[in-house]
Amino acid sequence: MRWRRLVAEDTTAAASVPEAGQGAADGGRWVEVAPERLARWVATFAERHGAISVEPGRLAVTFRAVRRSLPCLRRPGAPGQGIR
Amino acid sequence: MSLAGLIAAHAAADRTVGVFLVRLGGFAAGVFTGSPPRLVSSKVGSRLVHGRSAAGGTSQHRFARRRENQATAAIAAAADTAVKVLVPYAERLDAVVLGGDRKAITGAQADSRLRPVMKHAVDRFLTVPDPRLAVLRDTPRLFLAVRIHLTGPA
Repeated sequence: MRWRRLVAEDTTAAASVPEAGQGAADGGRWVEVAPERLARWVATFAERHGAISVEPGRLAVTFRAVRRSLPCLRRPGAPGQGIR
Repeated sequence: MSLAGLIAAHAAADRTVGVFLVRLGGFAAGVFTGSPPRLVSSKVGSRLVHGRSAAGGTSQHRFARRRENQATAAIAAAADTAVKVLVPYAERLDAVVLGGDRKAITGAQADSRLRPVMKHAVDRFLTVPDPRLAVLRDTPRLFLAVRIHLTGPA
């Protein structure tokens, strides 16, 4: 897996949302992908981890592969607008 | 269109987004509209805030007080700027993205004049260097990015 690490520096310990590249509380990892690169990113993920199943949700979509799963969050810039 | 394509289209949809960045070294406020986002209103500024003094003695306290006053003035100036830039768009904003230094932004966003703007604030926090116009112009790359949580096998 090729990680795309973004700036992870934070000046306080009060960060409630992990920054890209930081480990999440459950041991996962957050990354950020530009919208125009997302389709290719998911395709590459599928190539490397086998067939993926898709579980749409109101605020997130989960792509589950044989060896890994990734909830793919919508950007939080649009309150009240789910994924259609 | 694939689901990934739908997510990407959702992220890149035409929206009006306010951005407010504050660090002690500077501040910036801007409004982006359209797809791709275009900066339609902005203002950046800075106030002098001295660094901490490593020297001990009574002067250390004097420097600390001076620094505190400078920081308070800088945060007030940042809030003034946000009021000028963001409040006129308050009714049209789909989201407000904050960034910079969390302590500084907490102080600035507490300004009651910003209440109609801050109700649109989202969770995402942009970690950026001292806000300059170039930094502000680059923020769509950050706030449009789709966040992905990679986990291991369940």
